[in-house]
Amino acid sequence: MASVVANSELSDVDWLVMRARSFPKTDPYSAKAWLITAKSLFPQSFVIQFEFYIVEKAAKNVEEAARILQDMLQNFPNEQALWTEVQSILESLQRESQDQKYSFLTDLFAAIPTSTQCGMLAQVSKTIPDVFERCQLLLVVMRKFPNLVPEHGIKLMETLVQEEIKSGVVNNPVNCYRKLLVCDVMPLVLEKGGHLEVNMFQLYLWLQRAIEFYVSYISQPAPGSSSSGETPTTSDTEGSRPSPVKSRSLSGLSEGEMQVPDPWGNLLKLLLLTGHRLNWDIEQNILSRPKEYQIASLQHQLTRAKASNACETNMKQILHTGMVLFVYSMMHYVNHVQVDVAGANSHQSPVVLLEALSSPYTERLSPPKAKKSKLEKSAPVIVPSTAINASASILQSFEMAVKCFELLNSTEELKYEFYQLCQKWRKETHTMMSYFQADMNIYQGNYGEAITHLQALVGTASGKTAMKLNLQLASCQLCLKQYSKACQLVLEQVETILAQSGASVPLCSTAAEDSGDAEECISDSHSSLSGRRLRLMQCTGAEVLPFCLQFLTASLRTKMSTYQLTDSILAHMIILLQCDWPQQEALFNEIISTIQKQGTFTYNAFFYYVHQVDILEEFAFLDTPEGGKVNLDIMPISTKALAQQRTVTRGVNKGVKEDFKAALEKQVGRVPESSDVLIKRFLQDEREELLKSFV
Amino acid sequence: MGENILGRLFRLSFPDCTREALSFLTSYISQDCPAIPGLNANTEQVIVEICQEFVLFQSNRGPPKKLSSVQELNLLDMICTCFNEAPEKSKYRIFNLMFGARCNGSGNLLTKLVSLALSTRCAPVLFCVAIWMQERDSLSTDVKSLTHRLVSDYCLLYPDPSSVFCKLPSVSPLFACNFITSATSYYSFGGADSLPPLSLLQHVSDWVSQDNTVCCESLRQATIHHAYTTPVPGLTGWCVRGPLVCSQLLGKAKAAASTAAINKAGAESMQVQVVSLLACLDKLHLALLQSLLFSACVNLSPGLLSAGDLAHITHTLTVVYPLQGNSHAESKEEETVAIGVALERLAQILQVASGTRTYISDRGKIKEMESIARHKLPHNRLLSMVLRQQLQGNSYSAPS
Repeated sequence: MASVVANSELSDVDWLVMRARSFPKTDPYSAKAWLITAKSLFPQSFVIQFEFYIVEKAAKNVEEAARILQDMLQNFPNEQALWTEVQSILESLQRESQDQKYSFLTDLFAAIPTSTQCGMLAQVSKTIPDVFERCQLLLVVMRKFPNLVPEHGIKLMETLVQEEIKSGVVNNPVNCYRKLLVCDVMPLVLEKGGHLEVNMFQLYLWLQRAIEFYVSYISQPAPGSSSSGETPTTSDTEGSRPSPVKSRSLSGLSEGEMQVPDPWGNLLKLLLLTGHRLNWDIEQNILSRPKEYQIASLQHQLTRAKASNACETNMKQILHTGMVLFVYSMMHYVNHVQVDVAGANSHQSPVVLLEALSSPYTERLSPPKAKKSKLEKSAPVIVPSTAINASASILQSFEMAVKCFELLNSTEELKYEFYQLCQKWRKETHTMMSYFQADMNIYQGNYGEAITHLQALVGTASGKTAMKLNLQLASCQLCLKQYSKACQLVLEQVETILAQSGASVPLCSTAAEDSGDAEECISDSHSSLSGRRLRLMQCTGAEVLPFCLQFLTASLRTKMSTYQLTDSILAHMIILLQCDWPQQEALFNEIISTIQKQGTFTYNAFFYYVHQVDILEEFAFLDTPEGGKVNLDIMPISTKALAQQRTVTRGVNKGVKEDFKAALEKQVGRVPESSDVLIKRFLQDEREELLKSFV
Repeated sequence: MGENILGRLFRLSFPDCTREALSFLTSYISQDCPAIPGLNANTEQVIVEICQEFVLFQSNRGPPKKLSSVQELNLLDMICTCFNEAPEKSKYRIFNLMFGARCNGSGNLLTKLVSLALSTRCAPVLFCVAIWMQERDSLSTDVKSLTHRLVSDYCLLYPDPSSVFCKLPSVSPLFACNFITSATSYYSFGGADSLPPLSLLQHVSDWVSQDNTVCCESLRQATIHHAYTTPVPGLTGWCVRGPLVCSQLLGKAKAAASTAAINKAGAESMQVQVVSLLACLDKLHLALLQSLLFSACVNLSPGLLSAGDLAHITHTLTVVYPLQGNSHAESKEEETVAIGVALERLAQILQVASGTRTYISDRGKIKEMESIARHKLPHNRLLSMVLRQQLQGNSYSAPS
């Protein structure tokens, strides 16, 4: 009573609210009774109803509070306090906290009929000036309340598309609008949207945006170097936009928010969801299956769609499925090929796809043009090095990428659409594509085109990737018989490796032998099927150096039956043969018989580089009548020069002969320098000489 | 044939005769009372006689037959079954035949029947009893005695809340409604001699707050059964007078305790009980307001509460109110608070009720209230506010 007197100054409404508030928490009944009366007395008073709402909220009466809130939204749509409350409810929806306060507000929102929920959302989102924030709010709410998806889903997607265009960031698909659209809203709408008022073209358009986003996202440079230089084109629109919004349009989301955990999984999911919407023949529960299964299933789809009649629907399906599978497999493959650009794992060595060097007495290096028709029929065999982990999956990806690429280029229509889609890619993606195309051309035997790609790439590449590209270039040039260029490149690579790792890298590693053996095995089983073999090796010194030696030997061997054959070429081959002696004994025998036929052999650096006992013995034998009495001039000081010094006519050669024999014996007696060291020395010292062979 | 049926029934022994009689009565009433072949005039009398002889066992022909307890239970069970199985339209007519006309001595059987129906949740019987209560005045002796028996059986006998009673509104809302009406008139809460038992108040406040429609049940029947009473005026009386009566009881108990030390324990238990009563009344008051709010949004004829009822309650307040001259200052203070609560509740119920279609307004009665409040009761801002608004004439505007 005392309080009534003290508060006699208050207006009736305020007094009623004050009285309602005056009851202790232990008596919820009286406060409510007062408020019911007050509301009945002053039905137009917002203060009273709001107080009522507060009381119900405090008592955690979800339904009552929701009902009052709904009433107030209807009757007092202009009350600021009400909208502040609505805003705080919607904000609490955005929190993932387990806090009771937020979960109560979420329940409260849940207790409100859908139409009012929509109204609340629409009203609150109007008050958010920033479109992106508005979209985020809508997204969060739709996630928690899928019943709102049919009403707001498509609208939200359209808003995001428009806003992306308006903001000018559309040139860079990895922007906040696209991220929200593709990663968050689109899956939600496709999955939970119920019946959608969209046509096929709209769905494909969204899917294309998704492909663009994910392709760019996956191929974007490692974080840190990214966002800075992006989207210079925004400058023309910036005048009309307030600056805080502009800064959003650049990055929009923090690094963390821009992360997409399983991009390929997401893209496949979108493709499959779109497929469901378009009634493709895919299983209903495919989304719960592992990625590999989904891919296999899509591949089947693709084959089936291709086989059936080519209507536009089909064409679109082939285009999009093919596109997704292509970028998926292509990028997976290129990640192994273009290691240091992909960022994180720069310690890894790239894998190199090369034309396999034919070993002696298997086929000669294939003349590319002549065999082309045959190649198209049966795909070449790729033999992976045992040093590559997961080589099977790399090859699988490569082959799938090639198939998809061929499919996407199989008709003019598809080709056009495919290139339209590719045009929107970022630079990095095009680079990846170039890497892939280089390898694909090698695989297809189109060395000229491969070289074009490789040369374009090698300009910007460095480290192991540069080496990989150079090796491929050399391999192509070899196939095109550009031996000089090829060997120069190979020697450069040898030099690089030796400069970097020196003696530590074995030249004639067991690995090389292993791979050689493996090659033999596989070539045995496949030789009947295909004449062409490729090898996939790791770009490490241990794998590259032996390859380089084989490469040089193979190049030199091409001169064997030509008029360009010189004694140095023969000698160089002999020196290189020592490396994996007696692997190439057959070639050696060929060389010896050539020398026997010539009757002479001059190579004064012979004793510097030839230590192999078997070879030395063979040369001793050449000197004998049984060996053909070959005139050998292999002493460090030329016998001819010696002869000129000793101006004696007779018996000259006798002393020389003895010198030769002594030298041979001395060389055999010497503890052999390891062939590794020896050949490394040879490659370093005689580089110019080697190159002269190909002039 | 009428003689035949009577003769046949007389030849049968219990319980067959009763079963036959009930089945005959049911089919007779369900067929809209056809003339019984072979019976010229007194069809109705024969029917009544069958009922008297074989159901109520109040023979006109000889000494009344005394049934054993087990037989009586069997009889009640057969009656319940009969009501369960009888066509909807005939139920009340059968009931009326048994218990309607005069109630000489059948009241005892009725009470037992209600008890059985409560425990077996026999809704048809409870419904019929509810209509019967409605058609008689809730203040009539029969109804009063039934109510009294039920309260003592279900509220006083065991201190724990009876599960049968707890669920009563869901079994028969109309019975619950009319039982409340009757209970509020039996225990008027006008003084120490008419206090409702605590457990009754607990049941009632639970019922009303759990189901805001309970209070309207009798009004719903108004279109079918013209006579009706509603529990709202009675409940309003409880809520309004309750706090004042309770505070006076407390005051007296304290005074008694301070003078006579022997009764200290009694005073304390009284205090505990009064506090519980007050808490129940808080709850009941809110539930009552909510019931009124509910009635605002349903289409019912007016009559749930009238201005006259409220004027009457205002008047009863003045009877209770005069402060005892010998009260302590402390008690006085408490009583001042209590009369404030009482007037505010009155004001609240008036205000909320006036916004409903079921309220019968009467400007004269409001004026009367205003006059009583001004002259005989302390000033109360809320009541003045509400009365002022009522007299300004905007009391008919329904709340939005």
